[in-house]
Amino acid sequence: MQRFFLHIRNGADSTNDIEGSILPNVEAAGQLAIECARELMAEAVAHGDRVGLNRVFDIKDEVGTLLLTVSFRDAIDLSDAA
Amino acid sequence: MSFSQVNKRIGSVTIPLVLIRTKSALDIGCHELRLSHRSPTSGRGRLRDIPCSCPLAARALSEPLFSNRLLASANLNDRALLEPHFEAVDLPLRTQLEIRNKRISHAYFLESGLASVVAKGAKDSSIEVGIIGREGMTALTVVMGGERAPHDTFIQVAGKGHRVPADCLSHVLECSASLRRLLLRFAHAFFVQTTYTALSNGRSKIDERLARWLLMAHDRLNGEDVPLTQEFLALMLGVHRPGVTGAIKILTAAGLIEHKRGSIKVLDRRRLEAASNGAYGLAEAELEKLFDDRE
Repeated sequence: MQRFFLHIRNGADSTNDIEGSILPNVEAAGQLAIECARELMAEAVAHGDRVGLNRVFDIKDEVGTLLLTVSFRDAIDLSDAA
Repeated sequence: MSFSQVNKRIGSVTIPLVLIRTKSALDIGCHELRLSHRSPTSGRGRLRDIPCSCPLAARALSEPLFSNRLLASANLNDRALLEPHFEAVDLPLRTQLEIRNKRISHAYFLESGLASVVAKGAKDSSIEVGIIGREGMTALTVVMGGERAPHDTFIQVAGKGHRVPADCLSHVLECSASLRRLLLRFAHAFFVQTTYTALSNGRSKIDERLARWLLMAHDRLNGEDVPLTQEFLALMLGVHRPGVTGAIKILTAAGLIEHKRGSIKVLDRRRLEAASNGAYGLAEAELEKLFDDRE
């Protein structure tokens, strides 16, 4: 188990995660980022706010090394119904 | 029924007769004196209005009162019924007070700290349904005649309290209509709190829900700091932890709170109430009615 920090980056603007989540591996951190991106976008859609599709989660370790970037756009299925 | 009869009746069921401590005995004397003045049943607030020349009674009044608002507003007779069964307890972080589907062992009257009632769904999804601090008590299931906890209840801000065995509470409630009424009225206020939690979980934005939750915690704690990690806050708000970060950023940018790792400081309470966008206030008004009626 190790602590992963999920920072949200939106162009030049960023929201820093100062507490982090303790998770088994970087895959679990990526999964958390996907679920959280969906939740944040769902809330924005429900309230008529900007969705922020271009946002990303930068997942870093304790010393600040970038391990994985998860795009909000990739977290949802934007295709038309078949 | 006199107090001694009540106590004997409790003793004859399952609880050994407990000698009343001096303070309780004084309280009883004062209560009887008050009855002779034809005062309505009431809590400590009204007692000060009653001419009482007994020096012992005066000493009893100067003793520290309960920080727990339910105990402080219970009448002296009811307090005397409960107090012999009290056990003072420290309540460290994560102490589990009730376990879902298990028999409730004790009712806790918090003097400080914060307890959280958490509903658990399928696939380990959990969400907080209510919080209890020094304004109230746990074991409302017992107050309403049940035995098994519907949810988990645990301490999320360390504190202290008094606990009373659940069966003792049941027996005492059978003996006192006034205590039953008080605790049921708190159960009602708690029910109202959960209905507004449902409303805000369904209709409010995360930052509005965070504002509401911080105000509810602030109401129940001393000082301006709410010592909670984001992990806890995420559970309270029913969101993934990183989702709390954005909500904290919004309230911080507006100058309403200050965030440090593991703690949030309330800087501007009045504007934080406005930021809850109506999510905070109505449940609290319901709770205040309970105490206003008794003062």
